[in-house]
Amino acid sequence: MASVDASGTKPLTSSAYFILVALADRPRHGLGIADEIERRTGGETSLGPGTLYHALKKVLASGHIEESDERPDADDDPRRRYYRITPAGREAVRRETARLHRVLTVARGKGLLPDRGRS
Amino acid sequence: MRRRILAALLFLYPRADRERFGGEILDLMWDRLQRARRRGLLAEMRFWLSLLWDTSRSAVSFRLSDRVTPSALDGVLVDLRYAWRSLVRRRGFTATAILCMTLGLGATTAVFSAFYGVMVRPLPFSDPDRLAVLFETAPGFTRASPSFRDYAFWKGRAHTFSGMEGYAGVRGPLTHAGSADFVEGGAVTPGLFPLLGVEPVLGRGFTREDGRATSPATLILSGALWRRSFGSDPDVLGRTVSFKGEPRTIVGVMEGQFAFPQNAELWIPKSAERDSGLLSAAVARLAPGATWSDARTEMDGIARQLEALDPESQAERRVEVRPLEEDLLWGFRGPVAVFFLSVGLILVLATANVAQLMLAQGSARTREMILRGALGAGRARTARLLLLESLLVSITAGALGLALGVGARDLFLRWLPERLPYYLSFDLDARALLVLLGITVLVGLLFGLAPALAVARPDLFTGLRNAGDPVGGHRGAQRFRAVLVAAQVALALTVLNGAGAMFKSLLDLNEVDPGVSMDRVLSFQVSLPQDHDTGGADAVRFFDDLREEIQKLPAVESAASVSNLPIAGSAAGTFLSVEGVEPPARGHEPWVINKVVQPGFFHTMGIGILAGRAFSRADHAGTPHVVVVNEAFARHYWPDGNALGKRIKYGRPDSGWPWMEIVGVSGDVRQFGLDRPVEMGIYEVLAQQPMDRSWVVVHSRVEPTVLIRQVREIVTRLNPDAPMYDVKTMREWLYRTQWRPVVYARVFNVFSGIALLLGAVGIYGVVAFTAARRTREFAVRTAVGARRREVVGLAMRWVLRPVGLGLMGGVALSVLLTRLARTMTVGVGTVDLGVLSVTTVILVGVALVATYLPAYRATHVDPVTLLRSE
Repeated sequence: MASVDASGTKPLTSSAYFILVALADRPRHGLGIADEIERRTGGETSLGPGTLYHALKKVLASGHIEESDERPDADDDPRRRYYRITPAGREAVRRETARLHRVLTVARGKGLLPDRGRS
Repeated sequence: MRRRILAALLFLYPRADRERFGGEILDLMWDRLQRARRRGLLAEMRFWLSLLWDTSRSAVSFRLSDRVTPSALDGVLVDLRYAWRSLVRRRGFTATAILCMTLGLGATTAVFSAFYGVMVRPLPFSDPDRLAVLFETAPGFTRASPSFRDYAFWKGRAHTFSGMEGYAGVRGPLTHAGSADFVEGGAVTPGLFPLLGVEPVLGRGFTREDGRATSPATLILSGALWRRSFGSDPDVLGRTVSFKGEPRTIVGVMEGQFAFPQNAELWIPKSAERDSGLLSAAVARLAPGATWSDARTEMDGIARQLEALDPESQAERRVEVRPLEEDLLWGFRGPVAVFFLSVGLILVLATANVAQLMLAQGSARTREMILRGALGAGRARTARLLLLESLLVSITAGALGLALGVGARDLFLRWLPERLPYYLSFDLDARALLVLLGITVLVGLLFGLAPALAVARPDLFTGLRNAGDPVGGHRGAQRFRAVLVAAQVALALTVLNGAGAMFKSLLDLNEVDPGVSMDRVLSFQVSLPQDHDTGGADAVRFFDDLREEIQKLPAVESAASVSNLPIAGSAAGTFLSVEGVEPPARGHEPWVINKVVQPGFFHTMGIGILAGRAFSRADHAGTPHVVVVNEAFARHYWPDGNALGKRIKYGRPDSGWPWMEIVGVSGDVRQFGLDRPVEMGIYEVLAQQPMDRSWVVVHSRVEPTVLIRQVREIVTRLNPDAPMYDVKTMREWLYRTQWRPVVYARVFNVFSGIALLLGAVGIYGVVAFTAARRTREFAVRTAVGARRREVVGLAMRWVLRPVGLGLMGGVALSVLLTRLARTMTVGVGTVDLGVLSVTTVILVGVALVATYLPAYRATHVDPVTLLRSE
């Protein structure tokens, strides 16, 4: 997924994409992000701690996410750091999702998508 | 505890990242760990493994991403991938290069394993380079057995040695729990094992007590015998066994493969009170601070003291002090050195080959290199790329060569007549492998250097111009190519001549008449339990019965006994006096082999009777003592006269031995092998000189090994307590004495094959390269009417001079190296005109074919299509 699209912006790795998607609805802490990714992909994608945090560091550096003061989870460890998506990040994840959608449309047209029946 | 391990893993990350994210990473790790633990032990194990992997990988990512600019390491990684891809793209070149280097490195690995084992690895004793072997020398004897008294004398007076012990070989039947083995062993003085620094794995070594006649007789087993015949039984200590008829108690088992001195499987104590017979030699350790020359000087003085005390038996006897290493390894060092030199030639040849190939490739890639340079890759970077390619080739070839070399080494070991002695091993340990790796890398750098340098030179612009140059590159490269061809031819010729020399020496050896029948003769030893009562009549009767029974077998032509087997290399000898001939001075008596045989021996072994008669039944204990002498003896004493009727006796003329009449002269037999001179010898008949141990030779009508079982049955039937051992055919014995030239010839045949292949590939490659660059020229010439033959000749011509020079250089090198090799070992012949002509013809033939083929191909491109495509 590390492609450069027509606008010439920097590529989005799959780990970065997953992180942005995980933060799209609300801020989370690192453990929360990992859980969200695992849950949403039905256990298919599971990022190891090191991989996750390396990607996290890069996404932070690119400005797509930032540390947050909000603490949506109750009874939580105050030391835990929360992250939230930035407008730039939202923009980036939207763009990448659109690109993926275009790719999937072509694939579906060629009968490559698996049969519906599983959610 | 687990949490602490997780925390420790964090230290793989760079400090900044650790401080920033460490806590969170730890929390995540902990959460995942708990989850895995809940699912079970297997899940937890899988978690740890995947965590290890994830942490390592991300640690690398963290560290790499820290760099703002690409580091040197990144550059190398990128180049490595590029080098790999570029090699895979040029499959032909890569395959050829790897093949050449694999052959070269494979041969190097095989020879190096021998070299390492013989020259580098220390012997399995403490401080082995301070150990010495001491034995006696006398006029006419390079090595004599010291008596126990001599040994005690030396031990008492020597100060340059901190310890001295003695040993002798023993052989005999070992019976235990109903089964019997015929074993070799050693009789050793009690302090020998501690002196060598070896310890028993079970029980104890010998003590001074064991040497006392009043103590019970003891015995120590070797590890090998314990494993083989006693089933590694830990309760073997204290058990009683019988060795050579004497009951002994087992008190110890020695470690591992230890078998001092040579193939000993057990040891018994030797002392002044118990077994004070002759020693094979003494072993001593140099005292701290003493040098070899100190020791030699002192022992020389001690020998003279002994001579002064006992001039009769010690006349002109001296003591030789030889380093133990030298004594144990002497037979191996020479051949290994010769092989090492030769394989060095092959390695250089292979390296030159690949350098040649790389140069050709380098020239062909000039455009690619120029473009890279134009795009900004520095010269150093391009040179590094080329070196990386070479290293990839050499390391791949090194790995393949390792497998090949180890296989070749094992094959070589099977060619040897016996297994390697216990103190020698050709295994490659970590250090040896490291050296081989070093050689591989060095070789890779060497052949990578040529093209890398060519690139690093600042004539890329001329390169652009010369890329289409009909001569194929500037003069320097052309000259270098010619030099490489000459070098390859010279090296290949040298290896071939080496093989020729070995082969010739083998041929010469085959021409030597051993003096006995070699075909279909079986031999073995039989040893009777000692009989003292009937004066040996029982022994004589046993051997007579044995011969009769064996001769009854339908496949047997004839059989007879002999006290020492011809060719096998060991013999008993003695001094004789000849009637009417002035006896020589003391200490200068000639040594004559004496053998005791049964009538029919000469016939069985195919030894001719040149004068007089052989033995018969008429010669027995009641008739006068008679002897048969060999031709060498007869010629020595009666060069133009008749030996028949003359008389000889043992010892000096005034000794108590009876005079014996010479009744026959037999043909010469080579006792010690085909390459050793014939010794003087006499024969007596068994009936007049009974022996309770003897060899028996059987001339068979069929393949002799077929008879072994039947003969064994006969022996057991006649005397169940008489072991039969050392069963071999005469051919096997012959191989034992002449295996050296045979094995050398084989090894050098392999080397020659490799050298020829490498030389052919090298010449083919370079001619193909130069000819390919001139296809335009050839096409033009053909188009304007030149005959094909002329054009092919043109393509081949430039090779002639380097090949010629290479041949001359090769001849000189061959003569030099064979002379050197002859100083190192026996079995190397000379490089004479015969050898030279054969090898030169072979090499020139191969070179011609290797030159013609590519030239032909290059000149037979259709000129029209070629010119049109330009």
